Amino acid sequence: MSKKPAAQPTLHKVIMVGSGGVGKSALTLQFMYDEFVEDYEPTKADSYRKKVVLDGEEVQIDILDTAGQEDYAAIRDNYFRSGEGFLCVFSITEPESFDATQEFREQILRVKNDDNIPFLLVGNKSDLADKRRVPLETCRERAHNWQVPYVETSAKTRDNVDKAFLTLIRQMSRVKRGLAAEEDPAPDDAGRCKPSCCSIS
Amino acid sequence: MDFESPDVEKDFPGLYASESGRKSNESDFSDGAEHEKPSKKDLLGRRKEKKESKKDRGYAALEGESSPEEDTDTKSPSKSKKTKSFKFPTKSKEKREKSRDKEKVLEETVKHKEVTEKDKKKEKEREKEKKEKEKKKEKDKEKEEKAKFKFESREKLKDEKKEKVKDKDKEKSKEKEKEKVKEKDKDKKDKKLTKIPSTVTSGVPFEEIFTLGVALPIFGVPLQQSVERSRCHDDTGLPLVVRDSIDYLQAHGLKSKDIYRTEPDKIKFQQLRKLFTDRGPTFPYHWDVPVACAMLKAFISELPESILTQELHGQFEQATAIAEPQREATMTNLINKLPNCNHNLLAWLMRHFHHVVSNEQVNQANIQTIMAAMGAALNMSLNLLTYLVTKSEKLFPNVRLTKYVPPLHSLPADFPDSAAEMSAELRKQESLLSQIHAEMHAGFITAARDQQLWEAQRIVTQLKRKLRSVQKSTEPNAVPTQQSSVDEKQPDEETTRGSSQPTEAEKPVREVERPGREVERPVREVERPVREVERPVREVERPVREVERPVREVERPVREAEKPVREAERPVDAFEPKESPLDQDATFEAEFEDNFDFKPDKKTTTVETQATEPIPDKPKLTEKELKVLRLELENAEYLQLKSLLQAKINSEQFEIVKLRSYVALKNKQECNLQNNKDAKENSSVDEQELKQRLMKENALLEQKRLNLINQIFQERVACIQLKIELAMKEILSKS
Repeated sequence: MSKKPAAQPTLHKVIMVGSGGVGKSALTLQFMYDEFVEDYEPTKADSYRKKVVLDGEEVQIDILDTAGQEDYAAIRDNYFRSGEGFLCVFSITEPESFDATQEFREQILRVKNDDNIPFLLVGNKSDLADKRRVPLETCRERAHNWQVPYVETSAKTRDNVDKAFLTLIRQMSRVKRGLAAEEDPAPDDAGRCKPSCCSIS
Repeated sequence: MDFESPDVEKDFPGLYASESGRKSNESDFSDGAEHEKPSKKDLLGRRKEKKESKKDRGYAALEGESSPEEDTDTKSPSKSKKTKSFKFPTKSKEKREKSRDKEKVLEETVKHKEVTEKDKKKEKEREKEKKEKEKKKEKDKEKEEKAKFKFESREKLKDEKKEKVKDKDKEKSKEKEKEKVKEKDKDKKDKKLTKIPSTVTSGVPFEEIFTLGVALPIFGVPLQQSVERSRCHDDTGLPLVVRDSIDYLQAHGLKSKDIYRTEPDKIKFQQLRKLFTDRGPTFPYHWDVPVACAMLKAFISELPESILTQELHGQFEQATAIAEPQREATMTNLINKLPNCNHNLLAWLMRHFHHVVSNEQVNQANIQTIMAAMGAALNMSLNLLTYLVTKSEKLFPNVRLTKYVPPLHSLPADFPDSAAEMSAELRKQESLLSQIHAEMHAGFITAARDQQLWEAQRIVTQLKRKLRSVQKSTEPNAVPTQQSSVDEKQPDEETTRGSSQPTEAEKPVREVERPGREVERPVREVERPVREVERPVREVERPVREVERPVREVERPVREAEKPVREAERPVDAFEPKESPLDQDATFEAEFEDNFDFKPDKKTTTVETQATEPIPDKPKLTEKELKVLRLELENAEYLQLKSLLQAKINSEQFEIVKLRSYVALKNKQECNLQNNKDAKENSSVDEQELKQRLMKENALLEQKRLNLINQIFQERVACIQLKIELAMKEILSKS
């Protein structure tokens, strides 16, 4: 029941959200193709599919890279409904983008109507530590309030990129397996685990 | 009263049939059930009774064969709620107003119910006794109602019944009750109707399919809406129904004698129509030639507006009366005024009809055949249709009837790497995406559509990536190829032209070009390395200037060198439009004469064409007329060119003003800086070299630019000549 035979691997739908220019596309492309694109080009919407082996099980993930700009909000909303897990990205060099995560979180909860929706708070651009303007503690605090894990990544150096995605996918497959008993403590575990990840980065 | 309805039926034989036909596909059934009744009813009564009978049918069906169906009905909540909230208030009001008039009608309907459920003999007896035994019937009615509906207010009814036995006035209230019951019946009927399609399109969630088709219909709405809701995702801008129908007919119908002649199979037609309404996929077995014709016809006739639009329709019809040379121009003009979607639809239809008619020997369909089938739908006169069809190739030259290739569902590994194909597919996918988004915004969200959305999005992303990588890999090559193409322009042009249009008309063009080329050649030889088309030249120029800016001293002389060029350039631009077209024509003819013995050649060609083509048909056009016609055409062309150039001059002048003010500003700043100038000049040995080199380069570039402008000018003139020649030929061949 929990594991399907190899024929059709489980499909997880991940959605990247966050304000414009925080590095959603960069994270996605780094995860998908191990590439880092320097020049910035606003995304309207992009979708990718990748097979990942997670804890010995092959899963398929669809990643939807949404637009940070409000111009495309209408398009974004259609995707939120079908998303099963969310990577909420901000830039640690840009407090406004951190503030915006609050709004994204609320919007997602409103659409999904589920407080336990797999969700990950991601502080990107950790390579720009000297330009950091969002203190690590603030980030962790918010993640703790939301009861979600927090990861700091660098799409440029590929730091923690896989970790962020895999943590989310693990959450998603846990939810899908319906292990409700495990599910509640799980995010906390992950949450506790994450700060350690941050300290690594 | 008993004898009224047969008369009515004689007078209006189609009345009831059409009504019932509209209501459902099951009209045969209802007719059968009703057979016994008509003799007793007046007109109103008959209608009532019709509805009732259908309801009864619904009940019978529900009670007898398929109680699970009823369950599914009640389980589709939105539907039942909608219909109830809709119909209850309005209908019952109407009926209350008319209730008195309808007393007898109601009685009859009661009887009818009895018919469907009890023996017909009994019914007949009751009919005879009807007037005498009204009270008894009412009791029966109530019993039936109770039995059928287990109506909540059964007890009330009983009370009412008792009262009515005593007091006839209370019948009214009872009727109201009955009306409620009827409305319920109707609801159920509606549900039944909607269920029919759901079985047709099994496998897709009924609720979603039904509501999308109903909420965003594609038949009977303005063309623009229909295109938005269900379009071909290539750039044709046609509704999918039309495209698929024409595609089918083009592929399978042109040789068929059924085309625009045979009536379609009704069920097959309805099925296909339903599929289009619901945006379902169609398969070859859904199609045949008559169905495709009928689909086109249905779509067009249900458009709320004429294809030619309300405003222009009359003008189109009037234009058919115009004499020939002007008629085509008028028509073209009118066609260009049509909104895009109307233009596309008209173009495709006419081109398609043209194909049909040109196969007349096989399919025996001529313009009359099409007129008979489609005339009413198109609402065009035979003259207009004939004209549009026969001239379709000239009126819609850019339209090619190509088979629609829908957007891919997934990107195959061997998808072609050519940028053109990729961007074509990308456009399709993006069009599909936007349609999915629109549907979702309209509230139609299903798992299937979600999936479709993600898939389309993924393909878009994939294509974009591929396209980007292709463009990247070709970009480094792009510059050299462009340069080489410029270098090889001359032979290229001549070969392409030679191969594509080896007409007499082309000769003058080449001849005109030559002088320009000759001037240009030496320049080319000098400048090979820097060679580029006109626009790049400008771009080169600007950066150069920017380089100069820091080096103040260099700039001024260069600028001075530039100015005369600018001034020289202006007259070139201004030169053309100022001349009246006729004058210009004369100058060009002179030019031809100067260079080559062109003029006589031209004359002979026109004489030749005159001799070969028009004489057998119409010796009407004399040489004078021809000349006038030619001059008219030239006039039009040059006027167009003039306005175009005028616009360019305006923008150039604006640029000049802008640059002058900029220069003035800079000069001021320089005055301030002049104190430092001396110091700078000391170290300017290198700078002076640079300055001289730049001046040289600039002079060269300017000269090159002038040449290119000249060349463009010449080319343009040549183009106009060519156009005129073509137009002349067309006119000649027509007349």
